[in-house]
Amino acid sequence: MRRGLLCILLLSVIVPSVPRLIGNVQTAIRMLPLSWERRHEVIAPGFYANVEALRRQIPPNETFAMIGTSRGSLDQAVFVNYYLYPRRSRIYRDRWMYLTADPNGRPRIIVRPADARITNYAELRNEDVRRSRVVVSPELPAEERSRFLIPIVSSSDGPPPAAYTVEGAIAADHEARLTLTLWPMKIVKTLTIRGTRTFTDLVYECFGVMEFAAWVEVQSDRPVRAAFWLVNRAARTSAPIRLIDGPLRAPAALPALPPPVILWLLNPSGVYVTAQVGTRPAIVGPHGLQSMNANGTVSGPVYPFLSEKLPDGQTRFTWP
Amino acid sequence: MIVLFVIGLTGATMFVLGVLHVPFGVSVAVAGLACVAWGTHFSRSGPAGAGARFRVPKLPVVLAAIPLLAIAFTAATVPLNDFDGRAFWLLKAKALATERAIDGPFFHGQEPRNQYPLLMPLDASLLMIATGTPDDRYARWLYVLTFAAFVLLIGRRLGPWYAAILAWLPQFAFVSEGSALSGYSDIAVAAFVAGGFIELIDARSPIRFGFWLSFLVLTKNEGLPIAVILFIAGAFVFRRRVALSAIPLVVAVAALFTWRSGIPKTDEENYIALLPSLPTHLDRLPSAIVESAKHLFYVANWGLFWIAAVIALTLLAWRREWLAPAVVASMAALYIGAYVVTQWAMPELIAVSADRLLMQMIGPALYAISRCGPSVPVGPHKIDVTRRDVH
Repeated sequence: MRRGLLCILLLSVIVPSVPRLIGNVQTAIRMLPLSWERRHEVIAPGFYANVEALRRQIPPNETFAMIGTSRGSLDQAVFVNYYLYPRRSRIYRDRWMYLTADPNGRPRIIVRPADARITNYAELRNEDVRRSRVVVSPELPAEERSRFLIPIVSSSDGPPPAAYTVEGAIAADHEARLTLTLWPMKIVKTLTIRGTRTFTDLVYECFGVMEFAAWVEVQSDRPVRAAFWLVNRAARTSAPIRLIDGPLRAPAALPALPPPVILWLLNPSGVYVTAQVGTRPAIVGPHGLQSMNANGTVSGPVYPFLSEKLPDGQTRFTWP
Repeated sequence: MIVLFVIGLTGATMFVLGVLHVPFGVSVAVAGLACVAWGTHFSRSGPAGAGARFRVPKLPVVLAAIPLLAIAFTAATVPLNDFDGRAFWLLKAKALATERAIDGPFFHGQEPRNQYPLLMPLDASLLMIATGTPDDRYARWLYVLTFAAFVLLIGRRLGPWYAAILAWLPQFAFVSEGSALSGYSDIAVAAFVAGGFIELIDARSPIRFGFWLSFLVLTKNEGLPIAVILFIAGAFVFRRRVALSAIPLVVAVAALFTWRSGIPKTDEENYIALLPSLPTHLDRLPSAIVESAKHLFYVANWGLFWIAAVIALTLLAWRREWLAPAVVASMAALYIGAYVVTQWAMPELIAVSADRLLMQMIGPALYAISRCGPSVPVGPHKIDVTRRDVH
């Protein structure tokens, strides 16, 4: 009786083990002809080969940063750390930890742990930002335009966890070729759109840069419909941005308000212009977007508007 | 037993001498001499019946050999791919092999689990130094060897059928996290617990018992409280002679705390500091027990082993053979207590650790099953199961 029970017990541990044993041995047999490095690659496809590339790319004495974008990526960071030891790395739980670290002390080289590739902060931020949208279904106006300006765009981080992007969409009933120019950097991007193309972070998606404040000129070979919002991703707020044709032709009766209200002056032309803000002149450079105190009515060849950061994280624009 | 003792003694010697900043090479040499000295001592004063002729049934031996061969083949061919092995244990081994010190720059950075005890990483580092490669290719053999030695220990002391059960237990042999194919230290803890427990059953060598406890202290964080549990049990078994057991234990504990005082704590949970919060967390006790107990029934990892073990432990308690039930119950209470006070998400922590903690109790559990199972004479070192344990 006892012997029978012992046999049952033994069988009960053998039965669930056999498939695993067979699986392990089959894997081992498949790996036999491969080199040791290749076996690592089979175990971690698309990862270990990149780790070996990092070994070649990163100078031996350089400490590198690994910034997590998810819990799984932090696990991967641990493995990169393991394979590349004795090269030293510093793991940051998220990009904010890296951003707020002492700029003189934080590592210069950034590795994205998920795929063990060298990257930069802007790319990691883009990955983070594009996980969700604040303006879920952007409603586009009926009005169609072949040329327009987006008077302010941004792709920047505020105090953690505030992150600003411009979300929006451009729609074309027929195939349209668009040229977008980011000013004043003069970075050009061409797009072909048929149907609706949405943007989560217009500036980075189209121009590959992070900018605190710039503006975009859009030209299209066919009329398109478009709408954009300045989004505070942490606060989940969005403020519509008015699309314009160019500078105002008449003085804009904007109120004089103390900071934190900001007056923006946009000069779409390629030459220096002088505007009148209240009683004082203001010089704006070619293709410039300049901020200053809101001192009242604005006149001259510029497009003026006000912005104010509200306590809930929302940005309120006042358009002329 | 010899292999397990050598693994423990080597790592422990290197650690204790490392605290004294004895150069790595010297501490390795001393560890080697200590192993030789102990081996000589063991061959003279081995368990009763050593050298006698005995007959070993072939079937369980063959059965036990099958998974061990499969594990050896897999370990020789497939690179390490578990989590903790790469994240902590063998990373520490690499650092030890590179820096040749237990408190070098690596241990003054922000590495996770910085204050984990280093017995197994020290052994692994020795393999890395000996083979001249910081890769886990050869170091992982340490874990296979530890398991094989553990199976052998059980075979010689409880019987080959119990060795076969241990060798085939999925949690020990094949699961990806914690088995002999991983770089976890739980098999070593399980083996050292079993070694200490068998010394309690033998009741012959308090000093050897003390060494097993010292190995436990230097292998994993939970090793210290487990050593305390076994030491208390040892006080009932060895009476005054337990003072001898305290010598290696105290040396190990002193070395561990001295080392820890000199290196930063990173992300380890401070259970001693959390202990006073136990009364305020008692509402979590029922769910901690229930969630942990579920793992006893994980047939995929344990077969019917823990069901049989619980029945056997209950029978032993009913027969007033307290040693195994008391040790297992105390260890289980320790783990449950840790779950209750943990600052981690409790169900998540239980899910990832309960099976590995069950591994650590396998020695006393196997002994309990063997006490209730068929009496099969197997060899000179087998525990005399006809003797009632008096403890």
